[in-house]
Amino acid sequence: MTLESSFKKVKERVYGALENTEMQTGINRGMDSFQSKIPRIRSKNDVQQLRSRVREIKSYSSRNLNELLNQVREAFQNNGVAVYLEKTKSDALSRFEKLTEGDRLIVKSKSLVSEEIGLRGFLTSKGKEVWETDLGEFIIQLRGERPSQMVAPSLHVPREAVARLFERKFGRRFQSDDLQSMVNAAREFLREKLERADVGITGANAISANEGTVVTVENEGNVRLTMTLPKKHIVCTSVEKVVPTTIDAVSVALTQSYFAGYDKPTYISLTSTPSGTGDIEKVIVRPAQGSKEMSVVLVDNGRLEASGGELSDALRCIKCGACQMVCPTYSVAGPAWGGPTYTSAIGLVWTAITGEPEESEYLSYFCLGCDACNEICPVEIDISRLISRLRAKGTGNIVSDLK
Amino acid sequence: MVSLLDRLDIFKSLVDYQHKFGNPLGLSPKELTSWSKGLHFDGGNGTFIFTGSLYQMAPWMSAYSSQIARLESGPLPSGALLKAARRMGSVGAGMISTIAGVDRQFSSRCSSIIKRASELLIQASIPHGYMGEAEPYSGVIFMELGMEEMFSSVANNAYSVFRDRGVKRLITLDPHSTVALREWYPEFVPGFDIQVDHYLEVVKPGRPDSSGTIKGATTERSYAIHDPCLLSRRLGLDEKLREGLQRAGIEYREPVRCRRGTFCCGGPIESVAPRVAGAIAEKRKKQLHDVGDRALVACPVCLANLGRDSVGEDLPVSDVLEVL
Ligand code: SF4
Ligand code: SF4
Repeated sequence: MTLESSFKKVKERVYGALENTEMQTGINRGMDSFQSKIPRIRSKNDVQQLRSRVREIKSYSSRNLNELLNQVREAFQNNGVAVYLEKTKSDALSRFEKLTEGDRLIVKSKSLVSEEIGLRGFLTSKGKEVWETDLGEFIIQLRGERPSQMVAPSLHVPREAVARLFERKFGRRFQSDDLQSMVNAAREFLREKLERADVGITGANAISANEGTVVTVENEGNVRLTMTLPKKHIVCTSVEKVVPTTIDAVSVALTQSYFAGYDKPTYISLTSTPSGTGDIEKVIVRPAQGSKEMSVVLVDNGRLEASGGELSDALRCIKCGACQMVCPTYSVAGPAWGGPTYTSAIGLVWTAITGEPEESEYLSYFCLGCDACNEICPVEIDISRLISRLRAKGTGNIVSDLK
Repeated sequence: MVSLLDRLDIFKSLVDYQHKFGNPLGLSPKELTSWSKGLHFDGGNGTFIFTGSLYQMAPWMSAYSSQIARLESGPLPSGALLKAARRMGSVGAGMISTIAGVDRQFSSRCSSIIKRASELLIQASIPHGYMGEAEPYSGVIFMELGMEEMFSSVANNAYSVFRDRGVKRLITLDPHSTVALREWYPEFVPGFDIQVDHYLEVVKPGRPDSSGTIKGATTERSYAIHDPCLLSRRLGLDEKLREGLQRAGIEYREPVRCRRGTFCCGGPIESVAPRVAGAIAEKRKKQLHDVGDRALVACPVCLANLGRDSVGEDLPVSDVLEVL
């Protein structure tokens, strides 16, 4: 019976969200704006070609995960980058504890994997000061919330609510239509943290196995600052991000950006080694302007176990969030229809893979099976079918009570 | 404190009804077959119209989910709620109709819809039989709710009825049954070999002389077209739907989310979470209302869920089979 009461809890949460007009305002503004971008995504031939190549790259990669992981570890080592493969959340957290020993101020850019393992809270509990430098992440950090969408973590927070939040934080007034002042305030506050930080933690959109190159795509510029200003750069990412080559990795990052609704990415960074210079007599000196040390933590947290299983197709996901932005249930329930890190559409499957299978089964009953998600997915994951697997599992667990 | 219904309460009633009545909402054979009264079906040489019971069930589904929504938003203590729910799950359709109030007018519209499909088939020179009271339910709701074992048993029973009747080809009326028969039966029913056509793939509405011309009568009303999800994305019939409307001279407008990008009516989760289904319908009705003052659908689930008066904009909803 505990199972059943949990299903009711999810339902209660989702029903509660139906009354949350502030959240719906934020989500709907975001979804409407995304909707207006779809014709452009669809009509560009180069984007369509790239998308279909990325589908192949990710299919190959998800089938050859172990081999690619061996390859990438060797590549990182050759680059002078420390690499750690961590099986569980707690393994990963202990690794971060060791890697940040003696450090006080940490800045982070957006990383869903870091949300998944609860990294910010963990480091804070160890007495460190941690700041999110992505504006959306900064907003949800101040609100004490989890991300509501893969690319736009604060999608559920409309401008009026951001203005009120910043008023409390910065002790001055903000007009809700003066977005620039809000962005400036965050920039000023975070720039000071970035300059003083001991450690910068970033995520990765993709990593090449052949060269050990980490590819990130962004528009704010905070990722570049986070990885270069502090002396230590740690990449927090997950095992399925590894693809065969650097060109493949850049293709993934570009596709992610297009399908997140951006016309063109502002910055794509390729990072392979800690910063250094050989300009004086060809003697390599580290660091030059960037970080002195670089390490990569590859988190597994259920992915390797899922590979080859009935949910393995999800490992092709490039986390562009497009499936969420077209989902009718998400449009009314928002992040309430989700697990601790991942919400709606493919987020339900990620919730299952990363350690919350029961929660994902309860969530699955709110999926309409409408296939809007499948239709937009750049790598053609049959998301609604994966969710129907979760539902079949959920119902399978109570089937004896039905007889 | 409002109490919510569990999965089990909802599933149990559907399963019980299926066992007792051969369909998940407990409609009587009379209610399922009344649309065919006075019609004669002459064999069709293995070709049969397949109603899948979904149009007949639409008014019941509507009443059933409104009732669940009412139970879930009322201040009933959980004990009483559960009792009410169980009562819904253990009595017949007649009782549901009294408890929940089935809309008889909607019911007779649904009968005409099925009848019209049969007429259009004749008009397209497709003679067909009808299995009448023997026509099985496809089991689609069980699959959609994750009850695979139940679906499998319903589907296999249905197939043996089809075989006994010498069915070679089924002409379906709704996208849900079509997807079930085309995609899931081959997976769950060993040896399933029946050809399945959706009526939009075979009928030719409109008179040849009126083909392509827009009827004067419809210009004062603008229909917003609602592509049913499965019809457009799974079956790829969005173009056929428009061709049919054009042949019949019916003017329509496209909402912001249309064709393969369509936005669901919310109907598929109306039994599990009627308030969520209602919120989605409300949203969709708004999108449709932005381009038209009436909406056209081609699916009984959309017809029921978008047609619920209690939800959102005042927007009359018709099935294409009411206008073709
Ligand atoms: S199939 Fe489910 S997850 Fe996908 S868009 Fe529809 S409701 Fe959302
Ligand atoms: S499932 Fe597809 S659409 Fe959704 S986030 Fe992943 S890649 Fe993007």
